[in-house]
Amino acid sequence: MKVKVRQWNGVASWLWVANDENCGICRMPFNGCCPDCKVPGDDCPLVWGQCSHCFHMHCILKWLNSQQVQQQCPMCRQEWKFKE
Amino acid sequence: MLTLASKLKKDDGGKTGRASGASDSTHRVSIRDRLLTKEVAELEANLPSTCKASFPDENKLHHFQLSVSPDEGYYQSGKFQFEIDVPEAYNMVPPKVRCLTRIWHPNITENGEICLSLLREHSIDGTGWAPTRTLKDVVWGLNSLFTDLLNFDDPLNIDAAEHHLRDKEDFRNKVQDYIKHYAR
Repeated sequence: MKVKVRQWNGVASWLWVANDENCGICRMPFNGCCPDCKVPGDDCPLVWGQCSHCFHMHCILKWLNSQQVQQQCPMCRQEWKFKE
Repeated sequence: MLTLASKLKKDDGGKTGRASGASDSTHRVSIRDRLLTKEVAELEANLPSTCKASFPDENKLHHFQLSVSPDEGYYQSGKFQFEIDVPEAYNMVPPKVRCLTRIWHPNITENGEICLSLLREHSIDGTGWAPTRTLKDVVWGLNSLFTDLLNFDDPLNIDAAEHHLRDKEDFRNKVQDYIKHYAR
């Protein structure tokens, strides 16, 4: 039997690889987006701290911007430094 | 990379995926209210046996009262009412809590102000509010003000703390006196 492929559609899926299901700040799934966004993906990325805790970038920035005195990880209260 | 985001961007002519603030928030459920539907359910399923929460308006989960009836310690037999208001900016800011029952307590003033690190919006020692906390933590914290977290060494009501230091029996009597008058 000979088959001729006339047309094909590529389908891909993606996931964030994080050690948790949900963002500890907004409690929304990491594979979804933060409450201020509508679309998950590159426009609402995840970021990691050196303490290894992970949040939606928009969520952790919102929290850090509200803290004038010290910038700490809301999970472990270590000083927050972005992991390179 | 092909993303849904870039596809949508193309579709609506370059508008970004991010919500554009005030105009948008009017027809979206607020972050606070979305969090509260989860947290109130979690709270009610995990309430300490000494606590009771009541919601005067079931449609306003951001405003409720908590009554604490300690079953041990100086405050046993009292029933203390707290009023909890969750601001619109929750969970970036902590709930606002007042004690409605007049009380003789080192960490609660007679006017109802409360000293509980969890409720502090900005703290120098890093023990204040964090958005990873929930209403359940707040209620357990308030409940503990009558037991584990009762703290005479860092008082808000200095007179009460000094009273305790001076004469523990007399302190106990005054606490019970207040309970008789205000906390039944």
